[in-house]
Amino acid sequence: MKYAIKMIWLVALLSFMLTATHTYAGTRDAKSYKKTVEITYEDTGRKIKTTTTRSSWSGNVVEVETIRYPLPTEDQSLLSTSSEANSSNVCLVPVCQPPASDSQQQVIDQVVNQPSLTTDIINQLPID
Amino acid sequence: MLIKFKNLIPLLLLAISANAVADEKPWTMSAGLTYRDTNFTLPTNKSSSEYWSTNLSLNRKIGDATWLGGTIAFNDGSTRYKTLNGNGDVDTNSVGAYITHYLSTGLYVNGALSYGKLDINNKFTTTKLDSDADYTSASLGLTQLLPLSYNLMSSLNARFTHISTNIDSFTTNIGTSVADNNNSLNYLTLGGRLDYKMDIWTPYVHLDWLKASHEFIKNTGDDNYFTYGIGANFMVNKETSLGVSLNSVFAKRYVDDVNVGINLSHRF
Repeated sequence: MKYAIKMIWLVALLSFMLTATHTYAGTRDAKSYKKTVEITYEDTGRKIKTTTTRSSWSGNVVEVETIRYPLPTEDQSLLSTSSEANSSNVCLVPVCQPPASDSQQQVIDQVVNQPSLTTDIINQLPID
Repeated sequence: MLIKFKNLIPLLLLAISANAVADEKPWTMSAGLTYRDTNFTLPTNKSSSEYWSTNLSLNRKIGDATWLGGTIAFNDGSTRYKTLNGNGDVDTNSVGAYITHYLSTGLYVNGALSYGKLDINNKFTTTKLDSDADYTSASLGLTQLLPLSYNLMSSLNARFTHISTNIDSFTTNIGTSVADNNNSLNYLTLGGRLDYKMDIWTPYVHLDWLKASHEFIKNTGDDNYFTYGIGANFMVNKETSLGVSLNSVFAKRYVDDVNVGINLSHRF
C-alpha cells in the first residue's frame, strides 16, 4: 500500500512536470532566436548582412542561416561556406553527449554507499 | 552554371539541418576520468574514501531521433576507516547500455541498464574479509529543454533509478561466516541545468535532488540530498569536444563529497 502511494505520487509528479513544461514549451515554440551578423569580404571589402536562427528545440545547436539580402550570383560560393561553418554541431545539453557516463557513475556511487556494502558487513563482524 | 538563388534556399536549409549533420557522422565515442573524495562522519563509523573512475562510451544515432549506446567503466575505490581502525578497497567493473529518444518540442526520454561486479576487501586490526558483489540497475528519465535566449538553454530532468545488489557469502580470516545479502534501492532524481553557449565554450551549472525509497546509507536517516556542480564544454574542433566538471553534495547527512571529471568526445 505504501509502495502504491509512492508510485501514485511519482506518476502525479511526472505528469505535472510534463504538463507544465509542455505548456511552457508551446508558448516558447512560437519564439525564434535570431541574431544578425555582418560579413565583410576581405578581398573587396563589401559587406552583407545575414540573420542566423537557432534551432531552439534541438539538442544540437545548429544555426540555420537565412539570407536577408539576396546575394548576387557570383557570391553563391559563400552559401556553401556559410552552411559548412554553421553546421558546427555544438553539444549543449547532456542528451547529446553519451548520457551513460554520468548516470553510471551515479549508480556506482549509490552502490558503493549502499548499507550492505559498508556498515552492514562491518556490523556483522566481531571487529576489534 | 547559374542557379537561381531562391532555388538554393530549400537545399541550403536541408544541408544544414541537424539531421543532415548528425547523419554524416552518426557515431560518438567518449572517454572520461573522474576523481571523487568522500568523507563519512557518522560518529560510530567515520571514514574517508577516494575513488578513481574511468569510462569509455560509444553511441550511434539511429534514425532521426534516437541514440543508442553502450559503456564500460572501471572504478577503483579505497577507504580508510577511522573509527574502526582499518582500510578497504572496492574495485568495480561495469557495463551499461542506454537509449535516448527525442519526442517533440525539446522533450527527450532516456533509459539505461547496467551491470557491475564488485571486489570488496576490508582489513581491520585482526580481521580481514574478501567478498564479491554484483549489481544491476535500470533507469528511465525525461529531459525537457527550455531555451531562454539565443545563448542560454535550460533543461529540466526527472529520472527514476532502481538498483539491486547482491553480496556473496564469505568467511573472514578468523572463521566468521557471513551469509549472502541482497538489497535494493529506488531513487528519484529531479533536477535542472543551465547552459550558456559562447563561441567555443559552453559553461553550465546544474542542481539535482535525489529522493530514495529508504536511507541511502544505513543509520544516517538520510533518504534525500542535493547534488550540484559546474562545468564547461570546449569545442576543440567541429567533431571533438572536451568537458570538465566539478560536483558536490549538500544536505547529505554525515557525508561530504566532491568530484572532478574530465571527458573527451569525438564524433565520426
